Amino acid sequence: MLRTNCTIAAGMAILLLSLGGAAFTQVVEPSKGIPDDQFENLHALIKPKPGGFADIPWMTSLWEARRKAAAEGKPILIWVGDGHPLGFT
Amino acid sequence: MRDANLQVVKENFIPVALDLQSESHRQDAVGEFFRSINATDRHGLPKFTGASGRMHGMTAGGKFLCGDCKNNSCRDCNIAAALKRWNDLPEAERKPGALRVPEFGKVDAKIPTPPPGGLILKVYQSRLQRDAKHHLSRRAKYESFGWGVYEPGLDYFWLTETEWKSLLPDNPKNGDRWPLPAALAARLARHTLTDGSEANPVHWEKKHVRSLELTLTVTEASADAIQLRLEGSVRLAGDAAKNPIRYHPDLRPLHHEDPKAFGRYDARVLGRLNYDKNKKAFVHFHIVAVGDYVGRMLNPYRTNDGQTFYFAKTCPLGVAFEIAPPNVNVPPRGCHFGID
Repeated sequence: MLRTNCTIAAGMAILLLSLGGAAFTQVVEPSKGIPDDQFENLHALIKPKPGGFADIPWMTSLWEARRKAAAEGKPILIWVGDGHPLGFT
Repeated sequence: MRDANLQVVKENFIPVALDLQSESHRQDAVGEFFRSINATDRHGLPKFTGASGRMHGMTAGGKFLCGDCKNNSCRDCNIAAALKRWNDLPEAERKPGALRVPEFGKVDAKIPTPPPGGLILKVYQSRLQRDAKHHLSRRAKYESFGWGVYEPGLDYFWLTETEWKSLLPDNPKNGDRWPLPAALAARLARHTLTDGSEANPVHWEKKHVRSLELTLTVTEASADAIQLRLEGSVRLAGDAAKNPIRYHPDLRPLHHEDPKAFGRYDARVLGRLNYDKNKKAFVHFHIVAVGDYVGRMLNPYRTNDGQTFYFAKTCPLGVAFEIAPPNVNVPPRGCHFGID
């Protein structure tokens, strides 16, 4: 009984994970090419997860950022990396 | 950056991201201003250091709002604290127009700029995971170190006006089919079909393009738009290593399966490109490449001869392209390394 309950529970967990993760798991057979119906989901899978720092509308010109901040009366958040933070580092 | 901070930044700050080396060395007004704000503080430390980057709050005039240096380490800014310090400034200093920032004048000619009328694509490079049923999923952590939330490698690809216009047929009809211009296809493959997320990307020379077949097909041609399908395959392979990589004995078995491994990428490609005739521009430019990749991993256990990188077993690598946000000027990796 315990094993059956565990099996059922595990199965439900796998199903729920499958449903919840459907947007981020794909079936791709490389030898047959990329399926059309999975194209946009695969594109999203390769990109960063939404909701992170990439969602911020970063400018890339310090001078233009200064001009915009001065015109709008706002502070600047300046992010500097050795290698551009928005590109190859 | 935590979700709560994301909203605070979007609503209250002007966010700007910069490359330390470029801004530090440029010879123009922008460089002068950056060097003035990155001068060392009383601890002898500049505000901005390190590959992982630093964030600080700052007024348009260059006054820092937080990020005090303590214990010989400049820490990142507390967003909420920076906003509070901004709001505590006199109204006369904060109000719109309080500071007039002049035009910056002549730009250092060495700063790479996108080609006039060109098309800028943003590139994402992700090492994926594949299970026994060929389900692909995101990685949770970096493999080189076994820690840290995994993020895709980033790059850009600049097409000249001539190049992107070469994708458009003169009198398109549904079903028209032709190869992607060879020079553009080769440049796209060599510059972007690699991975910069875990370690330095594999650098493909011209001879490493072993096969490349990319075809454009008109899927819809109307008075207002042309829709194109890009499809094909690519095989990139470096030269076999002359000498096997010597691994530190403490490396886990995962990391030294093939001491003579060399970089390679076998990928299928699919893309959907939409051209708006009224705007005379591509408005949608999604491309995906996915296939097996052997690339560099960072060797955290260097041998006595200083081997920093090594090649590991194959993994699925996905590379995705899309049109970059407007006014984002981030030079492609090729600009840094002079890749032709």
